[in-house]
Parts: sequence; C-alpha cells; structure tokens
Amino acid sequence: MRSGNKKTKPLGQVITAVKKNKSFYFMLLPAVLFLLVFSYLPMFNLKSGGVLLAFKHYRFNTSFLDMEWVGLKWFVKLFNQNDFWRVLRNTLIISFGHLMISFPAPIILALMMNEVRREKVKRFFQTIFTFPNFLSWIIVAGILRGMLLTDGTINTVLAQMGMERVSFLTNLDWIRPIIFSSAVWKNVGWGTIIYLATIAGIDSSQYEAALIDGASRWQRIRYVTWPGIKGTATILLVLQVGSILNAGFDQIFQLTNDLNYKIVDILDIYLYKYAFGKGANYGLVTAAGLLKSVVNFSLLLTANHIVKKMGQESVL
Amino acid sequence: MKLLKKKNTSGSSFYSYSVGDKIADFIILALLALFAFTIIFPFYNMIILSLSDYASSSKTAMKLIPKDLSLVNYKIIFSDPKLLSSIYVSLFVTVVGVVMSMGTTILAGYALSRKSMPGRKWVMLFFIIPMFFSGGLIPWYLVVTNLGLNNSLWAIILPSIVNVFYVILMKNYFNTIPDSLLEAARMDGATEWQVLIRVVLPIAKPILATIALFLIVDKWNDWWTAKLFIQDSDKMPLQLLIRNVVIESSMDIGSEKAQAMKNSKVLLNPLGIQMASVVVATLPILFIYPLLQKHFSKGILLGSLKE
Repeated sequence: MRSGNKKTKPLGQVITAVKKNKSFYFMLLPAVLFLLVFSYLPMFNLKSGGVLLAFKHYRFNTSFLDMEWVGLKWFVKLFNQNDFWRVLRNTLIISFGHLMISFPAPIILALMMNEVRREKVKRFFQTIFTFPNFLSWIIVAGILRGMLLTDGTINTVLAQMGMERVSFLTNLDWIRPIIFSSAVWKNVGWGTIIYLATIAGIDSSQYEAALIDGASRWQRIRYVTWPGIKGTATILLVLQVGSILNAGFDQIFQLTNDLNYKIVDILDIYLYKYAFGKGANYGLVTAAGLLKSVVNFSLLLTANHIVKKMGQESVL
Repeated sequence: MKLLKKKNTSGSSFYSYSVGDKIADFIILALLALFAFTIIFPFYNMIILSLSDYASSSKTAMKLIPKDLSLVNYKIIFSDPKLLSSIYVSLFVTVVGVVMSMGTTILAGYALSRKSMPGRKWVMLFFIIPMFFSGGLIPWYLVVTNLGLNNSLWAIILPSIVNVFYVILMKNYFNTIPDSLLEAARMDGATEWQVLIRVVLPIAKPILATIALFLIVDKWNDWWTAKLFIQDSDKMPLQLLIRNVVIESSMDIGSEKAQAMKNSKVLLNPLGIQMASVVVATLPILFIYPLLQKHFSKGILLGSLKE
C-alpha cells in the first residue's frame, strides 16, 4: 500500500495520499508558520523588502516598493570605510585564533580524559568541565569581571604581592588572550563530549590488537584513537571554517568597551553599532550582512569540497 | 560465556603498567585537576565576593579565604523591585517559550518522521534552508517591529519558537521508533493525533526531556531579542538587567537602599553587589544542571546529531 516508488504517480493517487496524511500537514502548520514569518519573511517581503534592502535606499515609514534602487552603492560605501577594514581584520584575527586554539582544545582534552581509567574520576571532570557551557556570555563576563577588574581578585593578589594592578579588560595586550582563553574556558568541556562519544564508539578489539602488538600509550593514541576521531574533527573544522566571519558576537559584545574596541570589535559588532547607533544606515547593514553570509557559505562549500577531495567524510 | 565477557571488558589486563605509564597517568591527572581548578575558582570567587561587605572586601586576604560573610549585597539587590520583576519576566518568557517550542517541535518532528507523506522532501528543504541562510539583522528586525511586537514580551518569545536543529533531533528520534508499534495502534482505530500522544510520546521521553532542558537553558539565557525590542524596564529579563548593571553600568540595582545605607555611613562593596546579581542568574542553571548532564551524557543528543 505504501510503495509509492514510481517516479510519476497519477494525480488521483497523489490526492488520496495527501488526504491520508492530512493530519500530518496540520501538525506541520505551526512550525511552518513560525519559520515563514521569522525566517522567510526577513529574506523577502514586500513591506520592508528583506535582503533586497541591500540595494535600496531605506526610508522610514515607506513601502519597500517606493524606495529607490541604489544598485551597489552600499557595498561601495562599505568598502570605502576604514572602519570596515579594521573590523574585518579583527574578525579574521579572532577567528583564526579560535581555529588555532578553540578548535584543537577539545580534541586534546578528550584525548587526556580518555586516558583516565577510573570511570568515576572521568565523570567528575566531565561534570565540572561542561558546566560553563550552559551559562550565557553575560554571566561568564560577570564572572570574569570578578577576577579581572582592577578591584577584582587577581589584582588584589597582585597588589598584595607588591605588584602593579593591571586593567586586564581594557588593556590592549590582554584583551585578545582573554577572549581566546575565556572561549576555551566556557566551551571546551562541551566540545569534548562529541569526541568522547566518538572514542567510545571505536571497536575495542583495535585497542586489544594494539596492546598485543606491544603498542605504547602514545602509539595507541596515534594509530587507533586519532584515526577514530579524525572524521568528527574534520566535520567540526569544516563547520568552523564556514563561520569565520562570525567570530563570536555573543562573547565579544560583553567584552568590548571604549578602550579596547579598536582591536576587539568584529564585523557583527560593527553592524550592530551601524544598525542601532548614531547615523543608522539600514541599507549598508543589510548589504554587509548579505556579504557576510555569502562569504561564510562559500567558505563552507569550499572547505567541504577540499575535505571531500581528500577522501574524508564531509558535511554536505 | 562469562569468561569471554571478562576478557572483553578487561582488555587492559594484557598489559602491565610500567613506571613510565604511571608517571604519564599522574601528569594527565594533574593537568586535568589544574584545569578543573581554573573552572571552579572563578565561581568560588564570584560567590565569595557576593558575600563580602565593604569591610571584608577591603581586607585583601579575605577574598581568598572566606571570613565574616554577609548577605548585605543580596539584601541590597532584592530591595530593588527591578530584580524581582526581571526574574518574573525571565520565568514567564522561559515557561511560555518552552511550552510553545515543545508543542511545535513535537508536532513538526512527528510529521517529518513520516516517510509516506507526499511532498516530504520539499518540507524538509523548507526546514533546512533557514539553517544556512537568513535575512540578516535589519530585515529580521524590521519584520518583528512591523508585526507590532516592539516593546512586547512576545518579541522575545515568538521569533525563537522554532529551532530547526531541535526539530531534526526530534524527527531522528521518532524515526527510531519501530513502525509496527504505530501500525498496531492505527489498526485499533487510533487517529494520528492519538498515536502521537498515546504511543509515540511515552516512548520518546528521553528526547523530550533533553530538548526541553536545552530549551529552558536557551530561553533563560536569551538577552538579544530583549536588547533589541524591549524599552520598558519592567519588561526587562534578568539577563538584560544584569548586562545593564554589570557590563554596561547603564543601570543601577538597589540604589535606593544603597543610598540609604551610605547616608547612615555604611560603606558599600559595589563589586560584591554586582556579583550577587550574577549569582542570582547562575543559580537556576546550576539547579537544572544535574538533570541536563544526565541526559546529554546518555549520548542521545549526539547519537542523533551524527545523522
């Protein structure tokens, strides 16, 4: 009855199938409506235009159709702005930092945790390491302030030892290391879970064979564990490459301030300021947002393609 | 049989640990312990600071070793109606948001798990596209304001009702339920709604709990939509209040009580007041963390993630 594998089905048959599945379409309705309104309307709608706003001159209280087309004006304006190149540079530096630090960190931690033989000890560490993941960056920034402000604990200790206080959160030498290390602090434990699950899925006979062959601990990691998690690591790497222009708005929005913004503000912060700050320019922000998602998506496809060529499991 | 099992589980018995191995074990444990310390200490520090009045915060050594703890900072922040109202807003947004999200996610997940539905491929595509493309900040902002949601709590709740990632997790879990079970209920004359409620949901409890917990965390931690759309301070969720007080310093909390104390020559510990409000926002997450951990460590989430 349910073998509808033929390419073209007669219309009557389709209608009966649709009728039979009527209740499923009703079940889809709420989710489809919400997606339509909050995901698809922003892509395109006649009232405010959606992404096409990138090519129009935005006017308040005017229908999208009555706004004047400006071609690539906002893209040109964007490229002519020194601030744009500055935040782009910051975005790339911070993203590459994350690729170098936040990406390998959970792999290393998972390999270390996997060497802990007692299950209870492993679970104890996992419990502690994973917790910060569930806090918002606002909370984490608050916790960081308790440690790092000039009247925070680290400075209290420094002062007690007769050293000078350091304003970590505004100091240009400190803020990027703080961004990288706090990202690891918050996310690494959660990141290890997927690797530990993958390691748990490795056939234990491989380890036994390695042991019989007299493989050392390092050799077992190198020749059994690592090949086992390489596929997972590649997928996560591809996904991270596909979000290079993001660089973590949630985190940086809590850590940027008047003294460090020059080396901290990333593209998304710049867009936020341009959207809701002085001299708001909706066309420019939409253009930059469009550019950002196009670049991110192309990078994702490119990385995916390279990975496929190398014969690895890929995302898409 | 017994023998075989034993051999399998204790593969390490082939191997006698050398001195080098024991040293390596020790180094690994030491490093893990050190990292655990760097995670725990800032929390400990936050709690101690929140419990320190001016007198103990000015004596530097007190910060590392607690002594003379006081609840004065908590008294100050809870004297401010803004804190209680923001907690109420956060609870409201979380409860209503989670209930609505669970409803839509369950229904969509169940429908998408039915392979016989005509047009299923297109519907899947419709769900997946928003994972990769979005209109961007301003177009999205304009849609929400054009709906008249500005300065309304619904602006916080509605835009994030559907998280496609959770819909797909739900669908994958439903797919693992054997069809014969559902077919049997249908034979007994149950409608699809009855099949969902009486057969599918009781089996799917683990994934329901997992997704509900993740939704609770998501909604409790959300501040971004409130930042964009909420202007009235009595509609502000807790996270945004804390952002304004602790990070932006654009708002005060408990300033009346603090001023009264200042007038009576009591010295305050501003950092302690800030930390007390951060502690208040951390506690709910801490309370549900054991439940969360129970579920994600079962690997349910990850098992379905791989598909």
